[in-house]
Order: sequence, then structure tokens, then C-alpha cells
Amino acid sequence: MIKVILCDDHGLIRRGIRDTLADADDIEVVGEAGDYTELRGLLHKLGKDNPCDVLVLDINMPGRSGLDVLHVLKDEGSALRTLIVSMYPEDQYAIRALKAGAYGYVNKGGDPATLVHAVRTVAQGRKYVTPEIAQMLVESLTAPVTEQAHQKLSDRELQTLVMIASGKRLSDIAEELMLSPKTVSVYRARVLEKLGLTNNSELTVYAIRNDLVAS
Amino acid sequence: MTISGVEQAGRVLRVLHVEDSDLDHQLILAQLTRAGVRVELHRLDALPAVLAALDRPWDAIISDYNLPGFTGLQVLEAVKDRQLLMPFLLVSGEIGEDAAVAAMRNGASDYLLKNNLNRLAPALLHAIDAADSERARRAADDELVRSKQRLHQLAGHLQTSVELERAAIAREIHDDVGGSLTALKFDLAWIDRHAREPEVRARVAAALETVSSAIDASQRIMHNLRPAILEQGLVAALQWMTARFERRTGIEAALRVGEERLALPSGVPLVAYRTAQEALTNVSKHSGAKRVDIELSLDSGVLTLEIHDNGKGIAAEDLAKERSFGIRGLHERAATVGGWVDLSSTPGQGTSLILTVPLAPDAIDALDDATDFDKDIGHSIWGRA
Repeated sequence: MIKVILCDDHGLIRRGIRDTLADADDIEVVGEAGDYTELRGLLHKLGKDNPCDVLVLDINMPGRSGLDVLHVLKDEGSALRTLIVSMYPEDQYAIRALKAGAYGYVNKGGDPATLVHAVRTVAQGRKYVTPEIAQMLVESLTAPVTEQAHQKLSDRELQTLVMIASGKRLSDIAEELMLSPKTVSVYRARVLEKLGLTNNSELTVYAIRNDLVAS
Repeated sequence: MTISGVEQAGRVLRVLHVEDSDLDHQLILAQLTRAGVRVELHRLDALPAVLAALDRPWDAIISDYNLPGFTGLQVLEAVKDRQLLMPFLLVSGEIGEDAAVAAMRNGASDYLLKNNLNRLAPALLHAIDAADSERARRAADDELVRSKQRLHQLAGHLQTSVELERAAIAREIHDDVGGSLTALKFDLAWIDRHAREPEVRARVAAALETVSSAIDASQRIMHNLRPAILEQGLVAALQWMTARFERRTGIEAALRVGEERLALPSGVPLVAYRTAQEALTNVSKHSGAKRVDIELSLDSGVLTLEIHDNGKGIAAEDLAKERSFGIRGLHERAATVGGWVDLSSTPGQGTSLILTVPLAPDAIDALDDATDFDKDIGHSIWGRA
């Protein structure tokens, strides 16, 4: 028998989930909590060692959010397997939940049978991953999303550097790039900071040395 | 001869007369009185007394050139230093053309010779009228600037109120509507599992479809009001937005960020999110682009978000229109957090929308000090807001 604890701040939804799981012969709901404090009390009462097989946890509770609870449980070294549920569609929270240590993510507004399937999967110690989530995971592996661009100059910054080194004035650069002078100033300041220089002359020298402009 | 505004008002003029000769003082008083000007003419001839007198209200100053220990030009200088909008008539004996020209250049309203005072009365009235007009013009200008500022503040407040209201409504939908619909779906599913009759099950199946689409709708509405993903941070929200944009439109979209974790003041993430959202909407609707690049960076205390597409670009005339209408909302929104928006485009070379938000109140001042672009730009680049 798979033992499940529910934690969701919405009473009617708890009942809905409870009824759904109760209709599955192999699942038994052993406890319910409306927030993190109640959950703590419940876990304490049920005993530290294996109070349940699966914790069904809402991600969007007032006070401590589901993700925070996950982090706390993980930090404590808890062996609880958590299935995150939410009213938001998967693509927004699923990856984060999985990264935070959840065993799966289910949209409460979907087919209730999915919930049963997910609980069974997690109870076996496996992560519950839908094909859509799997697709997102794969995409996040190969996408060069967070390039460490800190030391490297962006295209705009490079453009600004070259124009300054060519002797153009702030107002001319602003006009040519169709930006306000303030914005050009921002890029200039960034270039100076990233390259460790202090004024336009040094910028020009740098540009010439690095063949960015003809000397 | 036109009747001056002063004459029409019939007011008594208070005029300071800087003159050491009491005789000349009486002559000028007589000249003015004969011309029908109602005037209180107060004579002073010591510089300290004159300077002290400048603190009191006068309609005009008539000054001699040669005075004991000082000149009329010094009085004029003092008037200018105090930035008084004061008609100043230099009335003197022979002082030479150069001195006269210098006086006029320095802001004297008029210069008259003592042996020819016929022009004195009309010159005085004219000078006072001109000063009155200038005063009115400046007041109107100030009022216009203040009015614009008020409008700007109001727009900012409206933006903030709208966002706050949206967040509140999204929360209510999540808690009340969304929750109840979800509970309803669970109950319908239970009925479906426990009912025998085919008609009942068929009806429940239909009801389940209805409630499912209601749940979808409420999720969509919640998202449009206040994207939940934003609570994960701006970077997460932009990552999600970029991926979804590419999935939905087929336009290649790439996000580049300097750091994963950004500590941003409240209000800034939502402004950046909404700006990106609108920019991407425009890209998909108008640009014909094959690729869009989004870059977020935080350096030197300034946040910039650039959305660049390789589409057909915006022609100069349309750019001006864009700048006034399409971008106005984005600019006002950016202004609520102290930032601004640039729209840069060349036909055939794509379009860039750049949001800039200084994060520290002195970040922009620091930039200003660092500007050594050109010695002939005498004023700050922030000279005009």
C-alpha cells in the first residue's frame, strides 16, 4: 500500500486529490496538511522514519512556498519523495522543481488519472517525467542560454568602443546608432570597466593595439 | 501712439534713481511727470545703499554713469548677478560710444543722454512693458514644465497601480476561481469513476471537457495578468519566455545573460519582463525576422535589456511614429523605475529595442563625471531630461 501525505492550502482541492487517490486500491492517504507548519506537525506525529512513501506538495502556498519546503527537506537530508502539484502549467515550474529535488511535477488542472500514475511512479523511487518535461530538459541541456559574458564585450559595447576609438563624439555616436546619449554613455562606461581603462584615449590605444581600428 | 500696458493699468511706478546730482534728479522727475507718467522716483547715490535697495521691489532703475566711487555699469552688473528681471535705463552725460554699447550688451534696456530726455518717458514705459511680457512668458514656460512633470508622474502612478491591481486579480483567480474549478474537476472525475449509466457518464465526460477549458482559460488569464514565472527571477522568466516564443512562432530566439542571479530592486523585473514581452510581440507581428537575440546585462550599476531582430527594420518616418506612439507606453513604464527605452532601426538591418535602468541612484551621475568626450560640449549630456 502506497502511503501518501497531502499538503495543499486549498481544502476542496485536498478533498478532490484525496478522493482520487482513495479510488486507487494501492494508495492510501495517511495525512493532510494545509500549510508548512501543519506538515511539520504531521511528519513529527507520523514518525521520522518513513512517514510516507510520497508527499504530494502544492508549490504555491502562502507563507512557505513548495520550493522552499523542498529545499528545507533536502537540506535536512530527508528521504521523503515529493511530488509537486500546481495550478500553473508545467513549462513554468517543472524544471525548477526537479532541480530542487522533487520527484515529479503534476498540473492539478489536468487529468486526475495522471496524478495516480505519478504517485505510483514516485512510490517506486522513479522520477515522474512527462514527454513534454523530458523535451524541455533536453532543450535546456543544449541551449547556450547563460553564456558567461561578463568579461567579454557585447556587440553593442564593441561597437561603441570602435566608434569612440575612431574619434567620434558622443552626440554623433548617439545619432548614428539611433540611441539616446545616455545609453551610449552606459555602454562606454561598461567598456571601460570591463577592459580596466579610464578614459577615451586609453580606449583608442586599446582599439589600435587590438586591430579594431586602423591606426 | 500706442498706449503702453503700464499706462493702461494706471499704476504708480516705483523707480530707483541712482544719481548723485539732486538737480538732475529733479529734472528727470519733472520730465517724467510732464509726460504724464505717475512715478515715485527714489534717489540714492552710495553703492552700498543701492545694492541694499536692490532687495526691494522696483518697477525700473534709472542710473547715471559717473557716480561717486562707482559707475552705473556696476549697478547693472549687480542687477544681473541677482538675476532680477529689471528694466535698466542708463541716463548720462557724454560717456562715449564704447561704454554705451557695452551697457546695452550687458543687458541695459536703453541708453539716453541727459541733454535729450524727450525719449525718457516712452523708453521707460516700453522697457517696463517688455519686462512684464518676459515675466509672463517665463511663468508660462515654468507652468508647462510643471504640467509635463505632473503628467509624467501620473502616468507612472497609473502604470504601478495597474500592475498592482493585475497582481491582486491574478492572485484572486488563482485562489478562488482556479481552486474551485480544479476541485470541481476532481469531483466530476469521481462521478465518472462511480457512475454506471452510460447517459450519466456521457454527460460527465462533456462536463469534464467544459471545466477543463475553463481551467485552461483561467490559467491563461492569470498568466497574462501576472506571470508566475517572474517569482523565479527575471532570468528564469526570460528563459521561459524565449523558449516559448521560439516554440510558438518558429522564429529562432536566443537569450544571453551576464549572470544567472540578479539582485534587482522591486518593480524592475516586471518592467523588464513586460518590455521584452511587448518587444517580442512586435517582432512576431511586424518584423518578418528569422532570428531574435535577447541580451540582459548588469554592469556598472546599470541594467540593460536589448531585443534585436534581423527583420526588415523600420523606415525613418515610421520610426518617428513608433517613437511617439508605440514606444510611449514602454517609455512610461521604464520611467516608473527610473529607466528609459531606445528604439534603433535601419530598413533591411533589423531593429533593436534597448531598455536601460540605472540601479543605483548615483549610477548615472558617475557616468556623467566619466564623460570626457568633447571639450566643446559645455553642458552635461543630461542637460535636458
